[in-house]
Amino acid sequence: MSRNSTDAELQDLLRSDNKKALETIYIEYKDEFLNYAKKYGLDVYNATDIYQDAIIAMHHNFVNSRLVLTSSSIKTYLFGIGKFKILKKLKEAKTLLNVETKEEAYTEITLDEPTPSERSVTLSAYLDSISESCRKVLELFYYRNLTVDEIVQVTEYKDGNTVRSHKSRCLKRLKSLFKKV
Amino acid sequence: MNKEEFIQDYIANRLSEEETARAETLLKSDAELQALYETHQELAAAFKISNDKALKQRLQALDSTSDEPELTSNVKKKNNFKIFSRLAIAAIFIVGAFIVFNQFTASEDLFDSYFEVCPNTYLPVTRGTTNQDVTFEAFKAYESTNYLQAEIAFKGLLANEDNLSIRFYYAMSLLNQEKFDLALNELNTLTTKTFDYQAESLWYAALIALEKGNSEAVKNQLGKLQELNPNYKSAEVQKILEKLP
Repeated sequence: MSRNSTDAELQDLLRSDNKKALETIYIEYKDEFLNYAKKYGLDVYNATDIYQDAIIAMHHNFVNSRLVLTSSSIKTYLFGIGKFKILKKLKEAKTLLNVETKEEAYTEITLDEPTPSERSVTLSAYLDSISESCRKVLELFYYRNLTVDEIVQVTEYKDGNTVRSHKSRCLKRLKSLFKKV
Repeated sequence: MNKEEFIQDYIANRLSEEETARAETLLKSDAELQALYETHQELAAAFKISNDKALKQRLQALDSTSDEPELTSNVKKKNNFKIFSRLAIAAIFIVGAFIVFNQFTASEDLFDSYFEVCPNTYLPVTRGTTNQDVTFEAFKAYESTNYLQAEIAFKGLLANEDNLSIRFYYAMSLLNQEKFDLALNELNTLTTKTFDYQAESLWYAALIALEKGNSEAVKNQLGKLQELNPNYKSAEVQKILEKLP
């Protein structure tokens, strides 16, 4: 992937869960974000931690919700999420100071971050106990919400019925592991 | 469209306004649909937790590869050697124990990785035909993934005539219901016979052996398959053999 890829091309790559594209974006804006976070009094360690979480949240929205940015760039969106996470952290630590300036370029992007259920946490641990092909087909269907036809297109399954059959077997296996708890 | 796919479309906002309203009404009254909705949401959340964790580690590793200074001190190198040698010894024991205790699970995973329903290539079934022939009905049930009905129909056919291809699809109908032992019994009668599905019989017999964690039987069946037809699933055969203990 070229660093000169346009924003729209990068968005396509992010939606297709391309990790290399995500890493390029991560490296590209990291220093600028750490400088931005300094305004809020954050040290490099905390700022990096927040930047990583912002990248992860952005990745989730592109992959899971198939986000399409029409009125902002990836950078603006990323920094908007980063700002939300910085302010959230400072509010939790009760150290929020009014540091908004006239030059403030980024609008806070509020994220809905529900606490996952205990069942989901336990299930997540078992995802490493199933085969790679099972994990893949379940992830494509339940996490990325690809239709059966789309799964056929991005994998080597020969048709939709094979996808349905494999997915059903994999879900059964995952549930059987879960029941053993 | 089945209920799972309907729920997926609802969650992914792919339904029309009318369909969305219908889905919301059904979710209040249809217990099966509610359960499918909950499963979908729980799995999506589970994948988010797992993927976020993996991505965090990936980003941290990306930082550490670009930031970490090289160690040049001899003392540090010696200490590192001691630590690494101890870690290596520990790793050998852990890996050994892991292989022993997880051989069965790993085999099951391999089975899932390579198992695909064998398509009907014996008697093509075309929608809309009026042929009521029993063989046709058996394959129609097989193609509709109604494997129990296919099993009964193929068994009926075999009572009148011992057709090797029909016996193969009888075995496939059993296998697709996870009746592994019964399927293997049938396949074992076929793997030595020369007929259209001999390679397939060896392949699925090997997969069942994988599922049961019987590595020697897997090697034996795949070896025979390679001798019979080196081109059949050659890449998959090679990968399985490499992964076997």
